[in-house]
Amino acid sequence: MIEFHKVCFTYPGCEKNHNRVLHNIDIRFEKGKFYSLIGSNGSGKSTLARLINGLIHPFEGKIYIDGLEVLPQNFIEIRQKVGYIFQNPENQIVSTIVENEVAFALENLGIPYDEMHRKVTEILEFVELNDMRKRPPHNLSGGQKQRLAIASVVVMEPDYIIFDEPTSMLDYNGRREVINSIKKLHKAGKTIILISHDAEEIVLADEIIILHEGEIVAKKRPIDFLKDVDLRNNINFQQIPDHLKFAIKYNINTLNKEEIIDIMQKNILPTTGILTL
Amino acid sequence: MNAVTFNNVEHIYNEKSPFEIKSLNGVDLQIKKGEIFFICGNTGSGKSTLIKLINRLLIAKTGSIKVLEFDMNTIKKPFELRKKVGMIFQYPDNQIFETRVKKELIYGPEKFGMSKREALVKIKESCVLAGLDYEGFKNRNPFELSGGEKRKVAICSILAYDPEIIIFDEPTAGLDNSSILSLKKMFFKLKEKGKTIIAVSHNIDFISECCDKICLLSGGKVIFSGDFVDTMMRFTNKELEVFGVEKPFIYRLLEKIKFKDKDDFKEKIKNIENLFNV
Repeated sequence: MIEFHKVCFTYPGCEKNHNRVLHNIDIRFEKGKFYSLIGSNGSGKSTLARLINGLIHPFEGKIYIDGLEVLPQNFIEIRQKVGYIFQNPENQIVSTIVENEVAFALENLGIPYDEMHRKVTEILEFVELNDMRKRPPHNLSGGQKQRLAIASVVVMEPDYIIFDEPTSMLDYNGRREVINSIKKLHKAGKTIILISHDAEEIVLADEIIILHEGEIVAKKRPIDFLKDVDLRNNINFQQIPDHLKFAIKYNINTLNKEEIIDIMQKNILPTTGILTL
Repeated sequence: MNAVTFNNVEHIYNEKSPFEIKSLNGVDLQIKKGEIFFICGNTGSGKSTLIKLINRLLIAKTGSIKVLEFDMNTIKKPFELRKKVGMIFQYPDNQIFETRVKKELIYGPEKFGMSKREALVKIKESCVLAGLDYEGFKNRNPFELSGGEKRKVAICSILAYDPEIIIFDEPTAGLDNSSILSLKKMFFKLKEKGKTIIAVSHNIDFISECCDKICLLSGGKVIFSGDFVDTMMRFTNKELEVFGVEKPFIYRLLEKIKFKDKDDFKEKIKNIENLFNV
């Protein structure tokens, strides 16, 4: 479990600007669950996520990962437990060959060659990049690069994986590939914390955590969040995709786009009479 | 009047080496002045090559390109061209280099010969357009801003020198709902001012709301170009995947339904929108 106890944070130089401060964050992320972390630009999402693996340190309050406090002396252990995937994979790819990138962290830990080889293959198969293991990362597409970044984090077998807007730079196909990888990781028992602005992605979570001006204002199931118009207005999340609007309006019992389209085409549109030639 | 004209343009990377890649192959393209023009295509389709050719970050191997009054085959100094063609990169980090927002914003206008006073007026105007609070951010380090804020700084730094053509590479990436809304308003205001906007994007909802024309690229060729409704009538969701975009939900609902012509199609779309009060 990840626990925040009354955590406050301010970036140096912006003490006066209250938007930039995390106030009194008290929250728990339970093991094995899928969380979405949402909020407008500058609301503190990435700041909160970076506090978890000690990339930045709280001014006040304490953070624990499985009972272990996030302090410099525990960083090695904490960073093995918490993986972090950035928005732009270029910021985290360091090697010139795909398989070396995945092996990088294992090599640093001194894992024997055979075991390393087995693990790298296993992970590359998991993210469906095994065919490209000898390629240089700069020749990969955006979605492939992001999956490589995921592979190089997942190979460390972290229990918690933070995705910081992993799809915002990707096209439709790349986005789908990355989202599939995230779903697979959740199925495999990982705890997922997904930062995103995309309503279609955030509804995949078990729970949506809503940050607004540095405070956690709500924690909701996706369907409850979508239905709570007042809350969405308050945090500037008025726009939701059409398929979700339809799902709410017609009480369709799924938030999956393909299923909604199917139900609309088969059951709902024919009864409206507006589509006959 | 065309802002950009491509005539049979070809571009090859790493020519005559084992890594040779033909990224554009016989591209003909016209972008009218004052138009909001979107370019869609999958990874490797040639989108980035195409926009880089417009402000001469790349030079075409064959064919002719005209941008405003400049002929790319004869242009000697790209300085005058760059003053009129601004480009906002996909990753703001690739474009930002100053350590204070105000310095970042004044760099372009000063380099292009504006006085400090004039530049400041323009900068403030651009910040209003892009929804960036100038006073609140001017002393901040742009590298410490959030992804969305950085993007706004990058946009303002280009708008500040008032180019005629503005090229955006994935402008909605990393922006929240309300920032996308203000970006849309900004596009319309720029259009009102007579600016030409060229944008590479995969965000189909954003495209559907503000595009005059859309062009689909694949394998270095323009496969289709037309208005949004034409594009939706012509392609299924599956076919659009080839160009890295998804068909909007309402248009997907209509995929199995027959229609007479464009007007009938538009009416049916309207009917669905009205019926469900979306």
